[in-house]
Amino acid sequence: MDESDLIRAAQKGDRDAFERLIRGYDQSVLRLAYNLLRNEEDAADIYQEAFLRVHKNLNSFRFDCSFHTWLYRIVTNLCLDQLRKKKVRREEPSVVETSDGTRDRLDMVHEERAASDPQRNVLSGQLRDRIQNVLGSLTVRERMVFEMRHYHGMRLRAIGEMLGTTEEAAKNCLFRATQKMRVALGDFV
Amino acid sequence: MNCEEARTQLSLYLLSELDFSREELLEQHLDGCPACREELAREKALNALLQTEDARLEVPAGLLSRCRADFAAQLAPGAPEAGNAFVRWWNRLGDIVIPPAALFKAAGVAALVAAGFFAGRSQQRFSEPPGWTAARVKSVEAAGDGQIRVVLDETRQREVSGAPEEEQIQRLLLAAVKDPTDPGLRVESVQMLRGRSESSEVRQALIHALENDENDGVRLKAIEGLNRFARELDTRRALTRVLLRDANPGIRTQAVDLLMQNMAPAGLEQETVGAMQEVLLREENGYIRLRCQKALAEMKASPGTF
Repeated sequence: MDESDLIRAAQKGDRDAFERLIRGYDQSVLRLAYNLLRNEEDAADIYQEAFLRVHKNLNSFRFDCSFHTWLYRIVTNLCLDQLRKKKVRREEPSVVETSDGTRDRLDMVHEERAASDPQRNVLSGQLRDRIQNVLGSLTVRERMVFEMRHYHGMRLRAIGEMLGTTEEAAKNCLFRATQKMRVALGDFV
Repeated sequence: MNCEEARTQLSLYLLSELDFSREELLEQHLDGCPACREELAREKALNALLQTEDARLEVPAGLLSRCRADFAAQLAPGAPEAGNAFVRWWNRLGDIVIPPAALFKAAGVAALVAAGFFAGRSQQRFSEPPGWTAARVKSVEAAGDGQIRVVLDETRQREVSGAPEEEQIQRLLLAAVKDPTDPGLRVESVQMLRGRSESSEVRQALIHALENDENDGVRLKAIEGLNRFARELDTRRALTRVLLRDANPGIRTQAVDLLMQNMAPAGLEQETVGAMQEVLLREENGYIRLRCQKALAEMKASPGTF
């Protein structure tokens, strides 16, 4: 059964087909949400909301774009909303209070990862921090375009379409994001 | 095109996002400009850096499973199902979980039967509150005194945790690998078993999954788990069969790569040689054909069958 068969079966109410359909995408949806929002609970919320919307609106899917594009449009809109809300509400302070005093949220994530792999060297830790800091400093759109182009292999035209903008605007976003990355990582390359 | 303009195009050029004419202009400029070529090399290095593992936050272990379980639970009450309104109503009721005490105290037999019957449908795969029981009516009969006797099969959800090397955990994972209803569960179970493939039971389960599972993700995880054992005879035979039969070219590619990395002299590889010769006759994928050709040449075996 190929994807369009699965979609048609799911549209007729076949629950197994629906499950198989979303299983083909849910891992990358979660990875996208987690890397964009950098928060486990937010990413989990996006996952739930995105697939509930897919479930609710699948009958209106008319194959005029790929399912992938349709799904990612839902996911990116949800992530954009969430990121904007965060910017307004400042929900995600960069530091948190712990029993050891004030700690950077990102450092804590890195430490967990480093602890699970003691082979990681200092240089790799610095690089990771640097990249994550730049990603955190990008605008919502820059971050979205950068993430989708570099890590989800989407073409800029498709990204523009998904974000309701032009390919040219997506190019500009990517260019700005890459510039910031280049400046921050200059001494690594 | 001048240098300033060229440099704004380099990242797009590397991502193949320039249109033909822009790409042509940039390449012409690069041909004659060593400074911009150097800049291009730096841009490539930056791209490579961004593709390293360090550039990404890995999704925390267990988050995907949690999301899937939560989603299944959310979906359960109103999930669409083939059929009419009665079927949908039936399934909604089917997701109600009945606590055993309430079940046996129910006054009306009809209610009891209905509750048990519908609850039975909720056992399939949706998470339930701990301590609650899903039940299914196994049989019904007249008891003779105007009463009806209902026999229920009950399923209770239980959580077990332990280290991956513990026998009980391994046994449960081995069972989960064969669960025909849930490919996601099989993928995760195979992934967790991959690290234990020195156990012959686990290896056999991985081989079985590689050769028989209908889900590409499960087969991919299984082949990765067999990586370290590609010299073993049973694994090589499985890889050979996969090379000939698997519908997914990605998996056939992995199979041929593994076979090649662990090649013994041709005399000891008769099955592999035969399979590779057959591949040359019918494989559509150019990469796989090339790899087989190379392997046969290295073993000094003929590329054709006679």
